[in-house]
Amino acid sequence: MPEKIRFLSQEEQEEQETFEALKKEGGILYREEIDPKTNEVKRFVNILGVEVETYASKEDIEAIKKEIVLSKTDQKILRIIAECYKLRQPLLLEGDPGTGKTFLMKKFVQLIHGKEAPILEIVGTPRTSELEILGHWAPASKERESRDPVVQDTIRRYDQLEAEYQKANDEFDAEYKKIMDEKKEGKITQEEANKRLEELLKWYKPLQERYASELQSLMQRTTLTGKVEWEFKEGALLQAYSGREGRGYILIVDEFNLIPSNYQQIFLQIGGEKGALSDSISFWGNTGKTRYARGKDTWICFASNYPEKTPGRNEVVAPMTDRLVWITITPEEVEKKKEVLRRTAGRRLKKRLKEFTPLVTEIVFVPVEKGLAWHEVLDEQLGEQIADIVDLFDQEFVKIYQEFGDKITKEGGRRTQQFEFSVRNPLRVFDYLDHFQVRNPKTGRIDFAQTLKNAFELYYIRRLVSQEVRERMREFLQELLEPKNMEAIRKSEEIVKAGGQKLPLGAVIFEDKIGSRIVSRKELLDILVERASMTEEERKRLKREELEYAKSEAENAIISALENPHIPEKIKERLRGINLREIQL
Amino acid sequence: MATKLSSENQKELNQFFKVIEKVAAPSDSRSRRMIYDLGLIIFEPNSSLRANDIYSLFPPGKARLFLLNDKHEYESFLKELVIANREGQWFLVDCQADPSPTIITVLKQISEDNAFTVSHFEGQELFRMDLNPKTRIIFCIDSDFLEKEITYPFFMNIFGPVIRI
Repeated sequence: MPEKIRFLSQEEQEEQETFEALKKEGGILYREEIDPKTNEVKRFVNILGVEVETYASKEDIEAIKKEIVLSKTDQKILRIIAECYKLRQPLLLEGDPGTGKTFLMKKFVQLIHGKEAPILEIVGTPRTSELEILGHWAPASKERESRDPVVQDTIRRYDQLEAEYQKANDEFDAEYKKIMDEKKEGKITQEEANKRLEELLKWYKPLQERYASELQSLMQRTTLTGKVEWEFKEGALLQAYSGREGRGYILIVDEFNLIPSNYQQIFLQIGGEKGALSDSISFWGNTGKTRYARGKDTWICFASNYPEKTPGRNEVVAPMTDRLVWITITPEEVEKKKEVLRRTAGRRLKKRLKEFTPLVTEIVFVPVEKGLAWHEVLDEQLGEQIADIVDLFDQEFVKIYQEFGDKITKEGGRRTQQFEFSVRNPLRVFDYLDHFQVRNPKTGRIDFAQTLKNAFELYYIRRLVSQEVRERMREFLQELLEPKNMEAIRKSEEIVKAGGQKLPLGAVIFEDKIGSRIVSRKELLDILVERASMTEEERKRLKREELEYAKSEAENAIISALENPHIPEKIKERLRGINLREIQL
Repeated sequence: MATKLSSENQKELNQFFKVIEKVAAPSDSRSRRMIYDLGLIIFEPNSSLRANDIYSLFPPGKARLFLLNDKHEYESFLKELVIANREGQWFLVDCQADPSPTIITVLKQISEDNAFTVSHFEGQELFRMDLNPKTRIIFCIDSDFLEKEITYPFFMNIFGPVIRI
């Protein structure tokens, strides 16, 4: 049968043009537009299909493009970085050293803030503390040059206080690690570990309070002399939230799992609504509680290595894992990247390099700008269907993860990295649907099955290291959306007799003008999208058709009843009195 | 000035300095940008050499020596690094204390980007500086100290050429 000719809408044409331009420009595209209200030039950069506002100039973008060569794995990672930035969802990339996690994060920051923009970064070490993360009060830098004995004495006492505090912190870290290691090795029970942690905190908390109080007292006394100026040196997290005159920065936290657990927990504050960054963070300084509101450009991305594979690594604290979009770059993906480098002689074989690094259509897609919105059509049958699918997938993911675990290598045991699963991932999926809906190229309508697959890949499947478990989850998703044996399910007498009670997860009963029938969840999504995409006129026509159909079905039923010799004449008399033709639809 | 350096040590060190001066490598497998390496000189347990002996090999004004002997210290380190960088001098660090997290961050940034960014420096909220093409950074450290006192487990990875004397 010849294929149907379909004319593209204006919006689809623009999407295709953008995709073609991205292909031509190596996946990164610069665009300017004049704001009609302010007459100001607005700059945008499209990174592998995700368009975001940028402060970088066209020249900067071109220069950065020349510095990067994107293998398939790099395309995946960079696209994920761009998606999470757009949604302001904090991201963690986990993988072996040399995977290019930090490199791609830094290139992304340059694409947004310009080639020479300063990059706010913390490299985690076992000695990283709240001083680097949140900040601290200290005599102003210029005071160190002063010859005044009062100032010199203040600095000496300040340094002494800091050293004592650091010593206490080091002792805390060492003891904390010891308890955790003993628990991991099975030498002590969880209960014993909790008891020892409690005792440790009993010792540590008063020290913290004494430090804060002595520092405050030193500040007050010396400020009163009028000779010593103090300044609060904001740490990286506070700067990321409120720096750049309130606009905020992108913060890169490298080697996150080298940071001691008690300081990793400082970052718990970044978890906000819908799995995105919190609107503000609070800091108890020596002058009381201060709220730092999130700037419009604030975003945080983390990098870490597998704790199981690299000595010296801690795990990321479990409550933190849930606050981040956790992306694992598998050893297989890294190997593919290395292969590109080897087979292009370290990028020297230019022609081959082009062949090895084409833009991958499944990764680089242009999302629909004005998709179907919750407040318009999704808050109905279509939205309910999506919510059901998310719920079923989320439950199955957690079940499979807890039952079978995850493995870095085929031979390797379960991961020591613990994960927490709350409701943040489903909420992230719902937010994703607002921004990254994809189109079915055949029909031109929104393809929610594919959009959901993309979202589940980002928030669930890519969290796993094991290819085997990843495949298992993909297969489950496929069965949830389009069961393989759909025809058999439709024909199954048992299911029909049970009135849909025994339907598999991927099938549902749907009623429309044709009547009641069994459809796959994907088919149902497509039907509901088709309806949601209709104009008002088309919707009215469909309603009319459905009523006409119902009327004709009723007529047939009456005719068949009248022809049935077993139906008493009295009833037939009543039925003859019904004139469906007179009913106006 | 009398020197504890044997002629063999001198030869090795000269070669080491030449490598640091001339050889540049891409910062990352995908980058086209060339980055000069940081160098690490490790004094073997039986060595009587000190960072001062290394410093004395440089012509006057060519290098700057910084003694890192406080594990909480980073401000003076940054000030000296910035001066060396502005003057196009080599920056020699006599590492006798575990470098603070801020110093580790700066070193790692330089090794990856040939530039570094620090907060609240010279009156700027974020201060960024490219490494002067003439400047190179070399850490001198005792073998024992490196093994036992350095807490950052990937300290060695920051450096390109490493020499044990």
